[in-house]
Amino acid sequence: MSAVLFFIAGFGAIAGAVGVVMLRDPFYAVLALVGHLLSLAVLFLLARAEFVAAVQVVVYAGAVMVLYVFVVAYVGGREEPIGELLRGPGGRGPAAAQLRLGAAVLSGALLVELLIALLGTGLKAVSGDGAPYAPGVGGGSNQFGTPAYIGQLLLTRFLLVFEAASFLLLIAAVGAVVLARRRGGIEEDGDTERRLTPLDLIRPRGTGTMLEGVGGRAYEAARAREQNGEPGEEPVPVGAGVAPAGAPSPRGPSEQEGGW
Amino acid sequence: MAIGWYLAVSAIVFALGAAGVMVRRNPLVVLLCLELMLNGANLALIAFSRMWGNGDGQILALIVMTVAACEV
Repeated sequence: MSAVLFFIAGFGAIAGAVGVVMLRDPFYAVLALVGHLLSLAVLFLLARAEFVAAVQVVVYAGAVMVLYVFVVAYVGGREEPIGELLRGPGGRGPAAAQLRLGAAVLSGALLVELLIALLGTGLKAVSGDGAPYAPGVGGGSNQFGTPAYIGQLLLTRFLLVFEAASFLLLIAAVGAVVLARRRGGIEEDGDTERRLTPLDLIRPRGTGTMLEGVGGRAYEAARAREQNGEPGEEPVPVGAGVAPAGAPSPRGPSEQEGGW
Repeated sequence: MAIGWYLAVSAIVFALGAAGVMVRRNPLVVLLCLELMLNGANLALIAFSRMWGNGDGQILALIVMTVAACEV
């Protein structure tokens, strides 16, 4: 039974990997990778790594692949080829065929080398079934591969590694925000130059801008009245540069402040 | 199943990922092939962890998954 399951899952994993490499459309490549990850989770289960298999399905094939689908939906359609200089436009340059052949030969050599290293090893355990394992024997919490077992290892022997991984995730999140902002992906609406500073909360409105020079708060109050539709009182005449109170201005006071 | 079979599958997946990194031209697909290579390594880690009956390999596989998640 486990042998049948192993061959089904192993074939699925290899087929998914071939699909990722071969498929033209990046979206289908992501879907093939999801299939590959799911069959890999079955292999993990067969190797008694229950918690890792669950994480593989929920986090990897679920969350991370959804992120990849988002990335494909945003930028994947646009072909942004790398190695254009060697391969020529459209991958039909003079060196393209040689490069493809070279890549195939190199990866074939890598495969042969890996197989020799892994299977030709002197370790006798490689051809065995692994360490003795009896399900349900030995008490609940320290059974090999269960969440309790993994959690105990993570919080005792591998605590530093655990914290380093969480720090890495934090750095990745902050870096993603910084990079997106630099490329103009995340923008405040309107003016990008003006930022709110602590001084803005303390000082009276209108000071520190050109509005102060042309009349200050009295002028601003008059404008506010004018915009509220109360034409009654004339604004207090101050200075020479004041616009006539009757002139309608389409712009609001907030734009006036920064825009001078 | 003998541990060697798991290792053979992991080697094949790793070599396929390496071929994809060298052949594909779309940067996004190159990243996907990089994930393939990480997964091949993960399968080898899990298989060795099973071989010795020791949980360290599973912890390392989890950390590799974290790194792969940061890659996106």
